[in-house]
Amino acid sequence: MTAHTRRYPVHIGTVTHQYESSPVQASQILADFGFTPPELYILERLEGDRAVAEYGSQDAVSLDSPDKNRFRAVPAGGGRA
Amino acid sequence: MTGSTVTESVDESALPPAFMQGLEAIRRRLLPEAVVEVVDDNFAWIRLGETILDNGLFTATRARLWARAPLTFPNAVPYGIATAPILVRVDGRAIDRQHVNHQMVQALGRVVGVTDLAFYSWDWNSMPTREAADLVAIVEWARRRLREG
Repeated sequence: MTAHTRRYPVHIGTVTHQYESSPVQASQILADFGFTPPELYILERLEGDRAVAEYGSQDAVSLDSPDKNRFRAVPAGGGRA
Repeated sequence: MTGSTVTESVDESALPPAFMQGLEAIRRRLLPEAVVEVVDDNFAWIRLGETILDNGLFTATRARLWARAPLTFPNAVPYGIATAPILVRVDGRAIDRQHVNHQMVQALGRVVGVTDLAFYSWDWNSMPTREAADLVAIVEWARRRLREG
């Protein structure tokens, strides 16, 4: 009997990474996708183009619903000059 | 006469290597269709495609979006975004720091064949500048400005 490891795909833009556990800290996801330092970003879960949840770098992100694991990394900085 | 140097037909191979690393990171990770539309002095206008405006803030429901990035990134930082059409708020209020047909977007307008463009003052304060690939943040940086109205 073969033990199967559950995988949790996560998508940001055109890139997908697979995780083997859930939840995952947002800072880990941001770093894995190259958004560093993660403190400068907010991770937003998307449905279509709309954000339905947001996570600071220290937040735990559930990946239990594979069809809902599309995110965007929104920089927290920037301002009206 | 502005005295600026405008390159309307951009040869990407002539752009600085670090800038191109940033542009390639945008294409590879977020937006394959991102291109430099025009170079105006030391800044490039990067085409970020069409953005859906579904937050009910504007009369338009979509807009073409560009971001202005320095060729010397990350040693200098992006400043300013542009849209076509010129966005108008549903509630009739002025959009903070929106400038219609500002001098900074004149070269861009010529290249893309758009008469009316809006420029938005939007800075890179507290944004990543550690390496060339940090330019990838410019995509959501620009889109967030539109979501905020």
